Amino acid sequence: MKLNIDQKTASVEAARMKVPDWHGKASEMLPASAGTILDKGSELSEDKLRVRGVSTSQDSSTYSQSGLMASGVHDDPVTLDPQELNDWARRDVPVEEEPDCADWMVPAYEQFAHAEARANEYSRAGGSLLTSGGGAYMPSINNGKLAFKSESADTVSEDGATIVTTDGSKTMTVDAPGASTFVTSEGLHWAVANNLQDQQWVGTLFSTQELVNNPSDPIGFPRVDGHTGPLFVGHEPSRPSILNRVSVTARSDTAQSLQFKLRSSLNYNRVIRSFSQDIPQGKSTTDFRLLSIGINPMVMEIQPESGTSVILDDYSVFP
Amino acid sequence: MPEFIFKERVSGVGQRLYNNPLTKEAPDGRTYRPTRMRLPNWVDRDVMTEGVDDLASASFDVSVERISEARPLDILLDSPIFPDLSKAYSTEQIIDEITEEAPIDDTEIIDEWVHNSAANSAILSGWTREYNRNSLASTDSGDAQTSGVAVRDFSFDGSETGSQVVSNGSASVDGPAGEFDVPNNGGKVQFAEDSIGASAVNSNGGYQFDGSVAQYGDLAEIPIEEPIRFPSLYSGDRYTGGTGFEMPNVLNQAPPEESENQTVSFNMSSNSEQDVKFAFRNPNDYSQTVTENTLTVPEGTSEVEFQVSAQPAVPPVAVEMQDQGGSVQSVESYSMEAQ
Repeated sequence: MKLNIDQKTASVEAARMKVPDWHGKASEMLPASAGTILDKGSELSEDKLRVRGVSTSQDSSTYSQSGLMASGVHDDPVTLDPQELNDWARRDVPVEEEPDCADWMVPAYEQFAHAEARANEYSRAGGSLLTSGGGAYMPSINNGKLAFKSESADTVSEDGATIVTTDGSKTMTVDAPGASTFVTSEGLHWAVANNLQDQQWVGTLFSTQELVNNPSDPIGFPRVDGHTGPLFVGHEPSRPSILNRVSVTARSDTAQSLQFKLRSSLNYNRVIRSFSQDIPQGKSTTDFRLLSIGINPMVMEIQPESGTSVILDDYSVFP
Repeated sequence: MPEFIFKERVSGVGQRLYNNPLTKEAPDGRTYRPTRMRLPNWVDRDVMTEGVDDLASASFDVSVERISEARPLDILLDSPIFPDLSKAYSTEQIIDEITEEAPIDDTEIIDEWVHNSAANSAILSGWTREYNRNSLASTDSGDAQTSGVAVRDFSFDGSETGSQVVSNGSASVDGPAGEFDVPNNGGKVQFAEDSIGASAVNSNGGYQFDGSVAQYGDLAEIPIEEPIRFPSLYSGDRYTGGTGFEMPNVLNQAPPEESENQTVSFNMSSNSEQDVKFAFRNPNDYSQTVTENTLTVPEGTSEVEFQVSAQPAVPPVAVEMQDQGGSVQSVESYSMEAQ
């Protein structure tokens, strides 16, 4: 097995990606005229990678949530619908009956269950997503890669933002209430801060630990408190090639535009190419071609519009 | 034939050897992350099998020498979540600070489990920073009933309430090797064949209860040159009816050079005389203890040293070090030298 990042030197936030054996050696497998750019994925830039023939066809106009998973921790409904989850959480958390249950625990319960369910789907597809959700002031929120700094809701409200940190050495700001995507050279994260009360507020964190390459099992996009987060998947050609045909099958609860960003597998901060594509409500397949002197494995970020429910069914790369 | 060495190549770096693969599939179809030890490049199958077997019959002559006073707690790292709290290795040392910061108000801060969880979170997130200088571990603390407490492969069973935990005397935690019971006001380490996780629980009988989980991803590699605390949860007079939980440090004792004889040395700081469990665990199956000993370290900083021999060579093993009473604050160094 070959990986893009060494665990020994990686930061704690690192999201690792399995890469094919030919990664870094591709130039040896192609004619000399192909050049050495194949070994330098980070050098691929917009002018060296073309996206052509982007088109979408509708497979079904019906939006279905089949194939999603539950948290496995609670008896939560299998859904991406925040209202349905919130209704379930209100019924399940005995705020009125139990003196040690507070109002903020309802969204905390709902968001934890939602996050765990998405982590289960990502794991089923072959990757690893670390998540956490709950009271971010006390007791605090930590998903193993990322944590909210413990601040009272009063302070967060006053600042209009809060802080997430990796191991204390790196900090990033999240609008509060709001959601933010954080991409660093090694890390891929999404954080949400919401339900600000006087002291307590609710935070939810998603961090990729191991990227799933070319997934073919359904994965729901995270959807928390009116925000929809991105999914990061590995784009892995089966062999070095100057052409990749890509097929992305997704289900959406509404017609919308998806944002696609291809990032370097050697430095996630480097966006090699980005584009958007309209998709209809229901199930649809978006096809496109990538053309370059040589295409190394990359990371694909797919971002739906905020407040929508989307399920990624399949991401295929040929060859 | 079982595999004992897994090869992993990293782009631009080269080959790495590990005792377990990066991921495995559990019987329920989910993938999980085994606890891995990086192996030195000289290791072969014979060392991983015969070497471990030979080590089981070895005896150690351990020397413990006090070399100075206990190191100040300032040498520990801040919690990234609670950077303004005092540095501590025990929940008992900081819980009053947390209670003062956010007193119970019966509307948002509704019970003492919030304070316990926050204290555990501070201790464990500080420990994670220290441990992860050499490896990869993750922890989570919080309300195990409602918000849920989970790391990648270990999570509490969200169907239990705090009152059930008190009546059962334990809470249930799910791990890659199945469920295990964690005693109330105490904790447990699950050493399974290829995974290691720890959990601690505290319930006063209300609806919510406080839980913590830790997953050891890659074991801390030696040499250890900076302090790693021993988290001590629920010890002290505040917590009655349980044993408390002293979370072990588990290190990857992989000899950098091949030899039949190695000298192991490490330093520990303790605020009083204390017994410490010291065990070698089989790198091919962590549930098996190869050999076990109890050390007694005096108050202060002690240097511990012993020789270890095995044929064809001293193999890598997982070293489990567990404070038996809540006094040991940190292991400050750990190294191994071929003789």
